[in-house]
Amino acid sequence: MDDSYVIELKNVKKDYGDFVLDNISFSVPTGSVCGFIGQNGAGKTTTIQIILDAIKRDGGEVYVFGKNIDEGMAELKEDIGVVFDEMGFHDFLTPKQINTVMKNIYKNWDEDAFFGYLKRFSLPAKKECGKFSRGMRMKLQIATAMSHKAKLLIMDEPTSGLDPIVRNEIIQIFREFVIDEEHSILLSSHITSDLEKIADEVVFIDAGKVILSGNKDEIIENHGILRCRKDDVGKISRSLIVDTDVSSMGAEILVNDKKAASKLYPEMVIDDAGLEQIMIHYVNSSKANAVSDNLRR
Amino acid sequence: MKGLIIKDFYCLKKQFINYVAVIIGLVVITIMFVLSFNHGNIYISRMDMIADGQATLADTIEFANKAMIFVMLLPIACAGDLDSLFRSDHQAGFYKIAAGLPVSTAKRVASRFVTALIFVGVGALIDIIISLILSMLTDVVGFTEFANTIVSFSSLMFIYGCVVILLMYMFGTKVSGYAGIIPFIVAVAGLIIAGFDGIKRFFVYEDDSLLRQYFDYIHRLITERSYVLLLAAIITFGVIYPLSVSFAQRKKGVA
Repeated sequence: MDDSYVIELKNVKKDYGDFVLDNISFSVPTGSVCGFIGQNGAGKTTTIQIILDAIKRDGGEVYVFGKNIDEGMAELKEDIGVVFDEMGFHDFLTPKQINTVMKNIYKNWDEDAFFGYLKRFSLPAKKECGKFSRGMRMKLQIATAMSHKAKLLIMDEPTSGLDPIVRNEIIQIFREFVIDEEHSILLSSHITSDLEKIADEVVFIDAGKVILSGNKDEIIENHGILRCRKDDVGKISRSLIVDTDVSSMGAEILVNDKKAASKLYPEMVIDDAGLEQIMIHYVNSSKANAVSDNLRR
Repeated sequence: MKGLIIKDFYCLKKQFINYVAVIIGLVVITIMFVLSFNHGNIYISRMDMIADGQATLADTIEFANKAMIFVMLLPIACAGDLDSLFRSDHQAGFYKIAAGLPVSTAKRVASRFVTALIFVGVGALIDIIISLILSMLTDVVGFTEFANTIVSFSSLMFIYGCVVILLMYMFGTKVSGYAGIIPFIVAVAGLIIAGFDGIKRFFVYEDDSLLRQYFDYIHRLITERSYVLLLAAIITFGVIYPLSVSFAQRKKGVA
């Protein structure tokens, strides 16, 4: 398998009955930060659990560091740091005790690095982590994930529920982690502003399907919000339209090729689109397509 | 795997305090019992019973023997509330973290069995030390009989622990309230079924001879043939461990 990707998913399926992860395929290039974007319940956590081999998948293949996870994931996890939205450590454990547990689990556990992070994050080593604030808990998880010389961080909503200052601090830590380009991050979040700051690649997921993936800058550069009168919507080439939002004030159209649209419709205003707008429009478009598919059936 | 066992011990830390209290209480009660049996009120009562012809000297020693053996089992019986480990992991969401650790499911499951074995082993070790001292202080119970009993009950407790672990992997934490009780109910039911004839004879014909034979058989099994239960424990582990791994792998994140 290709070593230029730290994670590669090919047609991964998981059927829960009421929710289906439907032929998910995407890859995370080595040395990059990949933002995994989707609303709550889109399938981000399920995908992460499949990557970690924590749940059984119903189909497809997963490669981590170029190796098929079916050939043994436990060893590969020596090089992976994982951060979840909830802490996961028992409330009565202190960071010092967590250090004792982890140094007996990870071969490359670096005690000095762990206590260094605790100091940097102002986390008391002997206080029960159940008494920590949400931000402190998240920092403790990050300190744990980064203290065994991991090459890849997989994080599931690490910044959710945190105030902007702590979020910014955490984003800064991630930036430092990837600075040498040997480290990679898969960062799942529905907070697109965080991903805009740090991500190199993005994968949009909705209702168990990848609806868009690629280089973040290219995605932002290519997409635009075209504003026009309601009557002009019909004039826009359908191949350019991702989604249309018509209101009494006019129409707002997400186009997938900003340059082509500006050439074709020089009289219309085309604004830059942020990841959040792009995500909302793609989700709306995906919903509309699902409705029309159902009607056709 | 070692780290997970250490984590389990942190989880059982509160229980460990109760455990130490039980052992201290046991030592105090045992010393009081030995003193009273040889020089105090129990000594006076048993001398009265012998004088009245209600019991022989051998009867009183046998009674004391059985009482001491069962009191001595407390440290093993208190060893490790395994279902609370699963509950505690589930409440904390540790199963998520466990999924990210470089430990295979088989090792994660094995760590639970090792924890159970260590707890039973610690109970047994404490019992052996106490029984060694007691066998030197009194002739009520010999060290060999004590040692056999400890091995038998340690084996039974380990079998119990294995069944609890299997139930937790089969059904998850939703059965945690019952996982500790079900094996106990099954064991009691098994004992009743095995001694059913004796029990029936006792209640219907008021004849306790068969029931006595049954109790004597169990008593001999525990105090003289500990190897039978030890072998049963090894076989149980041999069957339950791969089964638990299989259930844990099927559910994955649960383990």
